[in-house]
Amino acid sequence: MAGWLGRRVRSVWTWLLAVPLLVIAVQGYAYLELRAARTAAEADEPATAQAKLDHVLAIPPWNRAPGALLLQSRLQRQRGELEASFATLRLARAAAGSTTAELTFEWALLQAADGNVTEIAEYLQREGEASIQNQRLVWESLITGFLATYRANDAYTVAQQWLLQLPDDLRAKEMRGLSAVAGRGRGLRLGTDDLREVLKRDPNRPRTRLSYAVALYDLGEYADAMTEFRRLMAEPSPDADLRVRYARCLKLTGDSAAASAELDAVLAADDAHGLALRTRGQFALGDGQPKEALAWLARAAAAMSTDYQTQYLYFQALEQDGQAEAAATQLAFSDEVKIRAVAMAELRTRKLAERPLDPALSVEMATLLQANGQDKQAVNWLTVALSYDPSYRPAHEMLLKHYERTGNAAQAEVHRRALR
Amino acid sequence: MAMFTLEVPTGRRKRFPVTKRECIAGVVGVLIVGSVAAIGFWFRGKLEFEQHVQLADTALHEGRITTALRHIQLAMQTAPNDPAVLILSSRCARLSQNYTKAEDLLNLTQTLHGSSDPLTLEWLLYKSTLQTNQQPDMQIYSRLAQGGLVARHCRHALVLGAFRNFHYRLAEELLDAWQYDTPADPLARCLRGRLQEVQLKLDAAIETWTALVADHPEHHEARLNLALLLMQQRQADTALPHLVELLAAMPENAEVAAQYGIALRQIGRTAEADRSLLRAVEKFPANVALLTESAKVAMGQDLDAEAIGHLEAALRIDPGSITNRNLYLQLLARSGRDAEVQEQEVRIKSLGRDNERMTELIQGPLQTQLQNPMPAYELGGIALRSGQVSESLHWYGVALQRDAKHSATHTALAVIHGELGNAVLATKHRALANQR
Repeated sequence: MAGWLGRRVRSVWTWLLAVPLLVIAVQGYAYLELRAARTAAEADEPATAQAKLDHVLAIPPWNRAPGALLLQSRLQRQRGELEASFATLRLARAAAGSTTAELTFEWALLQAADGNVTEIAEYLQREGEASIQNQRLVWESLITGFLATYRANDAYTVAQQWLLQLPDDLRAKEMRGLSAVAGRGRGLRLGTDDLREVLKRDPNRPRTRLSYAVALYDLGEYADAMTEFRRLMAEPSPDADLRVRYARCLKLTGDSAAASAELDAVLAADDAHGLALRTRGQFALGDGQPKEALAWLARAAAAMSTDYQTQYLYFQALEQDGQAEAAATQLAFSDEVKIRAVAMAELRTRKLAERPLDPALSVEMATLLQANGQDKQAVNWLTVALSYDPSYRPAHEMLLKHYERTGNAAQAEVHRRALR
Repeated sequence: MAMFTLEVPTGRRKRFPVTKRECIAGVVGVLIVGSVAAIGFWFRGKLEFEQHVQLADTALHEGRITTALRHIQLAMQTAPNDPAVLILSSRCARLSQNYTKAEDLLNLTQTLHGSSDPLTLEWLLYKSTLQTNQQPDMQIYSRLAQGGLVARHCRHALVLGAFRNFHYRLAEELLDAWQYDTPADPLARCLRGRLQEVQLKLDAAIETWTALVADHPEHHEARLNLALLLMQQRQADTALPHLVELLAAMPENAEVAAQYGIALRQIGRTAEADRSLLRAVEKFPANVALLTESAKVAMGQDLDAEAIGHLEAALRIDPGSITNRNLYLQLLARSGRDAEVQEQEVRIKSLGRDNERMTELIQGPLQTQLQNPMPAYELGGIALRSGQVSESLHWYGVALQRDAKHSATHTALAVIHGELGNAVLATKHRALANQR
């Protein structure tokens, strides 16, 4: 037997037969996994779909197959990784050699998810009418885009339409819940009901669970929020913000020691984590330890100069520590931050929802961001204003000043010409 | 010589003295015959395909859309994504006023096959028919100067665009120039008949259609227009032979079936009319003309309840029909339903006012105030009140062509699309309505 096997191994014919068979088997496996990934994606099982797709992308030349890259782009978009999704779609386009109907559709979905709906609305409407699967993708992208651009009302409207047509669709319920929660107010209660139902049917949705937990926290249901945070903390490498929220919940449910330990762990990994510093300071203030609170809140105020709550807590710590003059200065500063924060909240929760394409609102947002020292975000909002109205003077004026200040003569000239 | 042994069903072995060479020759022979047959079938299929494409193209040149569609469908069985077939389908859709489908087909052609001269021309014709931005693309005039078939297509698109925007004077000028060059062109004559109809020169229109049908007996669209106009003028005896021809040529056309029954009744062949009506209603249960006719038959037989049922069905489909509402009113009065009679009277007055206003707008400010969105916006509202949703969408589209930021139009469209369940468009228009 050994001799026979040895002869077979040494035989050229064996290798000539075995190698192609192996290649066919591997390629066949990749093909079947890709199909299974597509099926899982359509059945709204993103984790399964990604796991299968990872197998496919590990096998050349499937890592350059337009179909596999398109699915990867879609899954990235659904996870909110828009930059990565755009990059993958560009790879898919290069691999395909030319534009296809599927690539065009995926590009349009990405644009919608990024909040750029107006130009492609008719195209999306038509594509959505082609099949129910397409319709679901269109709705999902729209809602994602609306949520990203503070159009929670529009997001909710689309989600409602989705549920009317597909009342048992879990993803529709999830998106409606997220839209309601984003709208705040009454929406928090409506949203949590939806999200609870979604998690009951599919517990394996960590991002949804996080939104659910935060909504419960905001509703003051700390015990229920704790349960959800505990489940999230059991995931590998929970992120720092999650740990801070968990710490708050621990404190509110009476476990101060565990809360402090959690915060200390976050600060051990990142000693400039603003939220952790602020929360530590908050705990100290609440425990009647003004000196300790002052130390934490001074660092927090430096790290989060645009956050009203942080600045006000710092004022309180200074006041409790008897530093009247510093406290007065800090109060004035925190009042300015408050005015800007209230204006921004008003824009995000009401004005932009009502008039999303108004360039004046985009300029208003840019002005507030600039006052907060957030120049990059301000420029983004000014660019958005000009996309709505390319001749909008206030936007050009602000951009001209910005580019003159930063020494970008070419861009400054563009806006100077636009103002003539 | 190798010998091959074959096992025959009786269990006995039989020896067939066939050599290896002969065996191979046999296999090769079968392969050759098979290949020749396959090539023959393929070639025949290709020839048939080319033939259908050519016939579709010729039919469209003469405005025979039904015939063209038949040939396109046959061609699509062989090569559904062939660029020539897609372009012809798009042209068919455009000439049938199904502009969304026409645009989709052009986009599909672009995606699958990239740009090409025929595709660029078809896009130009599409835009000229829709006349976005009120003025036709100037490129069409340079194409017109090329002469030949291309110029003909361009003329056709320009006239259709003028019709679509109610620029009848422009349509007449274009047609005059066209028929000056080629007076016998069936496409131009077809459009001339349409123009005479909208200008209420009905006798001239009948003459035009009659001459066209005489010269081109296979032109079903012309024959249909003639038959409908004759029926409108209560010339059922003249219309009947045309309707008989059309029944054979366009068996799926509900309007033809309806008018055939009406024509039979008007010339006194009542029993035949009833039978024809029954058959037609079974085939086209949602056709307004057939429902109206069924109502009239029921009324004649004193079957008021049945007649009311038919009219209510007709009014659900076409709520703006004053004729049907008057009939309905009569029946309600006969049945003693006074409250509903009053309701219908109010509705009929309102529809009457709307119709008058519509005529005023179309003949007046719509043609003279080209930058003002209000006439088109008002027409959109009138169409919506009479239940014609796609017509209202068309007029609101025209209003937005004149002023893309017209807030009232966006608001109206947001509501319509919301009701239609088009969440994408509803949210788009809502946002644009609130833009300042």
